Formats: sequence, C-alpha cells, structure tokens
Amino acid sequence: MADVRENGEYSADNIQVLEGLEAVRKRPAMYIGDISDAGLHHLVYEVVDNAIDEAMIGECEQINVKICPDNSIVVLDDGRGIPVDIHKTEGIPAVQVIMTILHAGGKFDRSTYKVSGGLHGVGVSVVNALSEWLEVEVFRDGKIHFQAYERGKPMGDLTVRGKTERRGTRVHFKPDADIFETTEFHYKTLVRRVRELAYLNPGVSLTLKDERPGREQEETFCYEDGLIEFVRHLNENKGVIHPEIIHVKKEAAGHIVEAALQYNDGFSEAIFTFCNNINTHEGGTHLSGFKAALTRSLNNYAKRQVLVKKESDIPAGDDFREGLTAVLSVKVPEPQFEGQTKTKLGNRDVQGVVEQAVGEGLARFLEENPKSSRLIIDKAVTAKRAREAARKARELVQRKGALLSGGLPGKLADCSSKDVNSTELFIVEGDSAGGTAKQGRYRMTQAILPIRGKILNVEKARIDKMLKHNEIQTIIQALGTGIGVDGFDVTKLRYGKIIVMTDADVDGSHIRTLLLTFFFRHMAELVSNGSIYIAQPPLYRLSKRNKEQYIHSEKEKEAALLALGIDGTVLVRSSDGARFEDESLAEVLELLSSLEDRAAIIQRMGIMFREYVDLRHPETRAFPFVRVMRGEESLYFYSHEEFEDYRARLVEELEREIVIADLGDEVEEAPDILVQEFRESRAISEAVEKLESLGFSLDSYFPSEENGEAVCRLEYNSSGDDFP
Amino acid sequence: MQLTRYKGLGEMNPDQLSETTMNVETRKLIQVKVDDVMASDRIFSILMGPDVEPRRAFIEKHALDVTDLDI
Repeated sequence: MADVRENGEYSADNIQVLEGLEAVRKRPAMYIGDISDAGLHHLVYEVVDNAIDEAMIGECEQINVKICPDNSIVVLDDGRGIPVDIHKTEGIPAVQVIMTILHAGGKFDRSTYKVSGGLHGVGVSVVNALSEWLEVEVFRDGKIHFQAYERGKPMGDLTVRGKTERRGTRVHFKPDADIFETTEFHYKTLVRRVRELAYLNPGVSLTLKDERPGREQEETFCYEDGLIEFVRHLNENKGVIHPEIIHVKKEAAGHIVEAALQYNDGFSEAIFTFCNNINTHEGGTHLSGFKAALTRSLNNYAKRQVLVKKESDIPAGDDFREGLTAVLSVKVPEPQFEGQTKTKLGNRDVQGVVEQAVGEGLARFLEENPKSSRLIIDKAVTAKRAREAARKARELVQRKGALLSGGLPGKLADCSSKDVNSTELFIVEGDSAGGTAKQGRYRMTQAILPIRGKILNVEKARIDKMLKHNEIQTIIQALGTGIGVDGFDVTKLRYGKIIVMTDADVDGSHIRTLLLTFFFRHMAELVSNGSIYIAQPPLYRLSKRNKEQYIHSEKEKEAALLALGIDGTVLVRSSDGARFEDESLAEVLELLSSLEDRAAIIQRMGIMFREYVDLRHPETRAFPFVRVMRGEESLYFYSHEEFEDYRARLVEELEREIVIADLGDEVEEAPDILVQEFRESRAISEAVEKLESLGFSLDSYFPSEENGEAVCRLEYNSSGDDFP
Repeated sequence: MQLTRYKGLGEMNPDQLSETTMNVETRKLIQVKVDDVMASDRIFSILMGPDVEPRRAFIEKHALDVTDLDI
C-alpha cells in the first residue's frame, strides 16, 4: 500500500491532545450516531478501524474479532502495537492518551498515517468511555503491556505483564448496559462489515468468531484480488454479459482510486462507493466523477468505432448504468463527510481525480477488449431505445389520464384527507377483497387500490414493457411520484404509508413479493425511508363460547390451543401421584412441545431422535454438539472445545491443515472430515434438564413397549370443558 | 370451541377485516426495511431474476427449512 512515513517512527510525540472524555458518556449519540443496535456495533468498527489503519500502511496482516460468551468483544491485530512511551505534554503513556483523551490518536498527525478510517475519527477513547470495562494489551518491543479501564477511567497504571515474541494490540471491551438500549451483538451485522473490509483491503486477513453458547461459528475473509472479487461476488447470481471484470487502480495527488466493474443482463444498477473504507451510501464527489468518466469513455469509444449509427440511439448516463455492478473505493487524506447520515463525500478535488483515473482505465480496457466493449455498447443502446419507448408510452398515458378524474386511476377509492402524514394506501389483492376493504376502511385516511392477478415481474422486464403493464401503471398513478424515465419525485407521494395487503396463502405471498420487487427496483427511496408496510391478516379465528381470538401464526395457534386445553385439566403422574395443573401443567406441556419441535429437526437431519438421545454423555449429561465423520468412522463431540482439540490433534497427526466440510455441502476438494452440527443440542439439554427437575425422566418421553402402563393420566375437573 | 382458517381476505366480512388488519388501533403491520442493500440486491436476483440455476440452488438448499408450508 501507500508509503506514508516521511519521518515516521510511531511514538508518543505524534499524538496531539484535543479534549477530554466527559461529554461522551453524557451525549453518546453525538459520537456514535445512536445508542441502539447501530451505535453498539459501531464500537466494534471503531476498534477494528484502528487495526485497518495499520493494515493500510502494510504493517498488519491479520485481524481477529471475537464475540465472547458475555457479549464482550476482543479485537486483536498484528500491527506495530500502540506506542507505550511517555507522551511529552501529557506525561502519561501514549496508549493511555489514546484510550482516555477524545480525538487523540496517531491519526491526527499526518506523518504517521496518510489516510485513516473511523466514521467520525472519534477514536477508540469513545469506545473506552462507553464500555463497562476495557482491557488493552500491547505487544511491543518483546513485552506485554497491560492496562484496564472502567467506564473510561484507568484502573491503575500501564504495567508490563510478561515477555512476548509477537507484536500487535489486543483490545477487549464490554459495552456499558447503562448506556446502550441493547448490548447483544449480531454476528450477521459484524460479518457484513468484516467481509466488506476484507474486500476493500486486499491481502489483509480478517477473522470473525462467535463464542456464545449455541451460536459458535467462525469465518475468515482474505481476498488477494480485493474489489475484483467483490464485484464477482455481487454478480454471482446474475448472467454477466462479458467475462472480464474491469479493474482500475491509480494513485494521484495523494489519493488512491480503485474501481472494479462488470455488466450483467439485469436492468438495475448497483454501484457501491467507499471512502477510506467507509460505505458512502449517499454517494458524493467520487461517485459523480465515476459516472462522468463512464458516460464519457463509453460514448467516445462508441463514436470512434462507429458503433452507434443513429443520433437518437446515443445512450445517456442512465443507459450506461443499466445492469452495471461496480465498486468504487477511494482513499483520501482528509475526507469531508456530508449529508443526513454523514455518508456523502464532499471533497471537491476528488471528483476530477476519480474521473481521470477511471476514464483512463476504462479507455484502456475498451481498446484492448473490442468484443466485450461492443456488447456493453449494444446493451446501452438497447436500454436507450427502451427508455425512449417508455417515455412515449408515459406521455400517452398522461394525456389519457389528464382527461379522466384528475389523473387518478378509476379503481382507486381515495381517502378524503390530503394530509400525507396520516394517509395510507392499501394495495389489495383481488377485486372482491378490495370491495370488503372499501367497506371496512376509515374513509378519512385510508385509500384502497385493488389489483387483479399477478403483477409483472419487473426483475425480468425492461422499463418499456413494465410501463405498458396495466396494474403497474395504476400503482404509479395512485402514488403520484412518477418513475425513473421522467423522474421519480418522492415529495409528490400522496400517502404516508403504502400497505401491501394480500391473502395469507402462497399466491398472496407471490403477489407481495412481486410488489416488493417493483418497489425495491424502481422506487427504492420509498423502501429506504420506511414508507412500505405489509398488512398481517390473521390465519385463524378461534372462538369458544363468547370469547373470540384472532391468530397470526402457527406458533401462536399452538400456544392458544394449549392454553384452552389446560383450562380445567390436571395431569397426574402414575408413579407418585404428583398433580400438575394450571401453570405447572403449562410448563410441562411447553417443555414437551419445544422438545418435540427440536426432535423433528434432529429427525430431519437423518437421525432418529431416540438414537440421538441415547448418545447423551453418561457423565456430563450433555447432548452431542457435533458429529464428525472420518471415512467410515463416526465420532460425537459435546462441546466446541472438544471438537477444536480433536481438530488440533488431527492437524498434528497429518502434519498439515485439514479440510473440513459440512455434510451435504458441495466440495471441490475431498475433505478429511465431514461435520454435522446439532444446533439444537443446547436447547434440548435445557428442556430435558427442566423436565428432569420436575421429576420426568427422558425415557418416559418415548412410548414404552415393555410395560403398556401410562406414565401419567389426565383428569378433568368439573369446571373445565370437554377436551378431545 | 371453533377454529376457522382464513384462506383469503375475502373470507372475512368488512368488520372483521377492519378489526384484524386495517384498524390503526388493533392491526399488526410489518415495516419493510433494507439494512443491507447488497444482500437485498442478491436475493431479488436469485428469487426473481431470469437465471434459473441460482434459484434452483437456493431452493434445494433451503427447502428443508420451510416450516409453515401451506398449499
């Protein structure tokens, strides 16, 4: 990567001190956005960004992120380690300055790092301030340096804890439950960011591990070809129209510009942009530069090669982005972020740098790959013609519409209020349900639009075909926003909520999916600003005497039936005459029902539940957590650690890394072992142990054949109903 | 005790539909959100796109996970 150190020893003098930490705990949202899920996960990104900073200057190759069982986080890197020498003006070790003083950090001195991540550059001190506790270990100069903090305050001085061969920094922290609404980390959220960072920083290996019981998993990401692999991943399930992934990389004026792109046969564009590893959702100057370069280079090429004969066929920017998948990443020394979510790049000079770099790279590709270039131009010309046809169709519809009821579709039963904050549009499946909804609505704020049959699948249709489709025309007219061709305008939306109301069956699900595809692809802003809703009609009505109840899911139905059944029923255990009723009966039945669900899952994995239960460990009473098949041999392990031990032993035995595959996976290489994980093992243990504590043995779960005698019998007291 | 399965919206009368599904006070709504544009783009391509192969693979992989199948 960039060679950035001009006189760059990374030591205490580089750190400038700006201000204290008090404010962070008072107003956390100002520093990390919010105190819900997003802010919580932001803490992890902030620590990882420090490691990435090291990686960006080639000083760090491996970053490990771990979610511990108590929802604390460990981030370990093999970078140079945070400096530990005494800071000149503060008189304390540099690591303590970085951990306790806001906006401190090597990143503020340009001779240490040229570019740096960190969403607002707030640094790891904010993480420290918002953590119940934090421990930092620095492996540097052969020693392990250690310091612990509570809610940002050091619990003692930095001490040396031993010798080490390694180098790097390890930060272990637990977010403060007094600050955050939730302190439960989501693996899925973290893995998304970790994978993204691996794509954006080629060659750096990032590992994410979850050690929470029942959720153990681990993934490592390392991509030598970075953005090229990113685009390949994004286009994986699409038909690509040319085989090569176009790749551009250039360093200029202190900026690094990198882009990868490829066209697919779809109709939507997918351009993802990053600045200093931050996803710039709102775009900005780098995106503008990219778009300008794309349009100009492709049009120049088309003109020079005389690929477009008619003036009216010359594609515009939109046409060149149909079916485009692209990732653009820039590294900028002092990024300015603007926009609502601070994810829009504002640096003016970046636009020109990107435009030039991408323009040059594209021109080179086009000259060198005439066959692919021709396919790209042809696609854009087709897109242009479709857009033209669509525009004409739209004009026709608008002219027709103008003559009728103010441009609103005839089928729409509009609401009387015009106040967008309170109005709702129900898009209803079928005319008959539409009729019912019209009678049942609150006329003031609720409008009803019935649609007939399956609407067009817009994922498979170009815009011209889409706009000829009756139901889609109707929806666009009712919403009032217009669409792509002549400009979608969210401010013209006529309703606050758009509610999709379809039958609770497979056809209903299909229609709902078709509608969501349309909104996602052509009115994405309505989705991102939260205007789209799905109605939840009930699946069942349960009535008993005068009581009635509506039920929305199978699970709810089970619970309701159970509750009804329990009413007035007593379970008597034959062996000792113990009686279970009301709450205690509900508990037993719930445990049994949950056990039954898990048993069904185990059976689906190809093992009889009886067999599985017999594998219970005779001493620890645990149930198998994973089954390992090596050749003919089957082994069972009862914990993650046991499995890891086995794996380590096997590596030692074979003297090489072993190949592990999940049972049923398609594998390229013949694996050494196949594994089958029983994710239900913990839940089964819990249910069985509770049943046992109530005095039921697991054997009684299975109908016994030897003695036909029942383990329990049911009695009903007179107040109860007859229960089948 | 009586358990009625509603197959479609049309099986409810206007009052029932209003109470269960439309009335702001008593209904349930799910808001549609996108928190990962890349993952959403991918899933729409797989499920709704012109290429059959990725869809077949997806169905084969997830068929056994379906719990509430109602045909």
